[in-house]
Amino acid sequence: MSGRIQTSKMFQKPIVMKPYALELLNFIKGNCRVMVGCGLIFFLFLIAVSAPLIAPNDPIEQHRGHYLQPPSWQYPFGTDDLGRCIFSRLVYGTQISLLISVMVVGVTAIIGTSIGLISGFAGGAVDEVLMRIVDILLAFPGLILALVIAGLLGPGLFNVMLALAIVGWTGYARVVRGCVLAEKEKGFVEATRALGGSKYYIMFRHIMPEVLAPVIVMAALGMGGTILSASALGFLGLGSQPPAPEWGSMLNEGRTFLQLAPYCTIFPGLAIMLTVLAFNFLGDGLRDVMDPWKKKRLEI
Amino acid sequence: MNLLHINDLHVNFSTKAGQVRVLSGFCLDIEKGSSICLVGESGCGKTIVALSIMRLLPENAQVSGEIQFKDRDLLILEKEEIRQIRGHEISMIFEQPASCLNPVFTVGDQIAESVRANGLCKKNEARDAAIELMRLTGIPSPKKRFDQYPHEFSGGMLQRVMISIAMASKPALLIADEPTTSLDVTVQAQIVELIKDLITKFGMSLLLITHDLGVAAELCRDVAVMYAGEIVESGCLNEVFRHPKHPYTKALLRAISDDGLRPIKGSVPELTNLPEGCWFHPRCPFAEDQCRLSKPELKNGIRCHLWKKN
Repeated sequence: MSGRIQTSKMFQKPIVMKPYALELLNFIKGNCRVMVGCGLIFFLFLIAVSAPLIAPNDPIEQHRGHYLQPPSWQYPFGTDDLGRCIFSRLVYGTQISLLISVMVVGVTAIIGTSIGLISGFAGGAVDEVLMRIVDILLAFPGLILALVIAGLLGPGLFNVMLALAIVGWTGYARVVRGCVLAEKEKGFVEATRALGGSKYYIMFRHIMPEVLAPVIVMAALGMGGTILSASALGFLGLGSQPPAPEWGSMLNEGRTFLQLAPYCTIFPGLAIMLTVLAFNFLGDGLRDVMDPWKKKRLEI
Repeated sequence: MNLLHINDLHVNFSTKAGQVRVLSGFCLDIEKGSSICLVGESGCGKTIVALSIMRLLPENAQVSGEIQFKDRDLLILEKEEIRQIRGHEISMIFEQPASCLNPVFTVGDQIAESVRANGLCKKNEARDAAIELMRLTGIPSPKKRFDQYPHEFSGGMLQRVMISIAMASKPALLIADEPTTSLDVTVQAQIVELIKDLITKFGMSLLLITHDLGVAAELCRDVAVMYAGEIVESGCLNEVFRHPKHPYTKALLRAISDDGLRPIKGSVPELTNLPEGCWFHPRCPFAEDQCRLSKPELKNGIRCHLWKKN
């Protein structure tokens, strides 16, 4: 009798687990790099959102007589040659950097994945044309091409994002196409076709989830890369225009006073480095989570 | 009234080596509720028949002839129309169940998806319908199994899942392409039992493709023996297996006789390089001059010059 009660209890509350999600959570908990990366990124987003609360001064206000001052309580990271508070500028610059990286990576990942899916799935002439376009874009060094495009379009935040997007989607397209070519030969694709699934249904419902893992990893790593490229374009004067507090252009402005006031360049440099590092940690960690071979090795 | 009527079906593949004839003048009738089996060695064109019916042949295939299914010629239907037939009126199960399920979705999701695709019920009812199907195909504790992934299932259980998916629409015709080949023998028997139950329960017709004569004998009423893309002997399964007339059928049956294995000497001829006369004559122990010169026609279900003599 008591045995019966026990079994009925066991079946009363079926434990519904999503094993993969749970595993992912555990892995993130156990992986130091992902933890640090996630923490830093969360911190950066917090800064970006609450910039007006954190910044002690207006980022574009020029304080007369306070040129190139070393760090103090009033100006935690010092001031630049126009008497602007570097700390406040960095805090507001977070908004610009994160906006660029999220927008560019979002757009390139979506465009690249779609083109890769179409190219791999359609095959034939479509594949040939799309991949040759990718080849052409990949034949140029990415940053130089972005520089040319941004130069042609004229300086500005939006144009820099556009330039980076035009250059950036090719990697996703290549990787996704490769995955699709492997996936579309698998049995379940033919089985779905035999069950009456349409082309688009197979493409988006069955093949896309299989290729998302590398896309997510690439996107996480791409965030860091995009911030770096955007800063480089800003450094060369193509980013958002003064007086907007863009990290790359801050580096450029401080360059002249490197010996006199190194804090003008050190702090923007540190900000860029920390942000890129955070995204790289996250990307590397995610790769470990999503690569089944690597995971197996870790378990052993 | 036949459910499926295949008449004079020819399939050619254009390859770099030229035209390859994989099916020539193939004819087959399947009555409603009957079961027929295609047997033959590998490379005889059995699967090509199934793929032609489903219109799933690769793009380099040229198909001619007619395949009538419920008064419609499947070969001339629009793409959209044939898609409505696939998985709804004709379902198919494959040899490798493990590769036919998407590894990233749970098994239950994939069965429910098939239920929903048939528009038989609303989204929230699909789960119950899927669990019902899993119970029907003998998957133990279906509620628990619903949320598991394909890699957590054994081969036999996966084949049951495939059958659940195929049964979601209660199709008129079930095509089973070597459904038991990748399973071990005890599981084979269970799957054969299951298919047998389901076809009687729902009055489905069955087109079974196999080279396992035991499975064929268990499941089917009629049989068609194929060789090099042609039917060489067809008829009632009991009759054909008890009194085989064509030398190829005899050889096939003798190959698994009780007193040891006796392989048929030689192999299926290359389809690009078929012999003159009867295509089986180089391997046939009874071949005469006539067999080397002229190709026999299919008469009374036999394609052989000599069957009356033997």
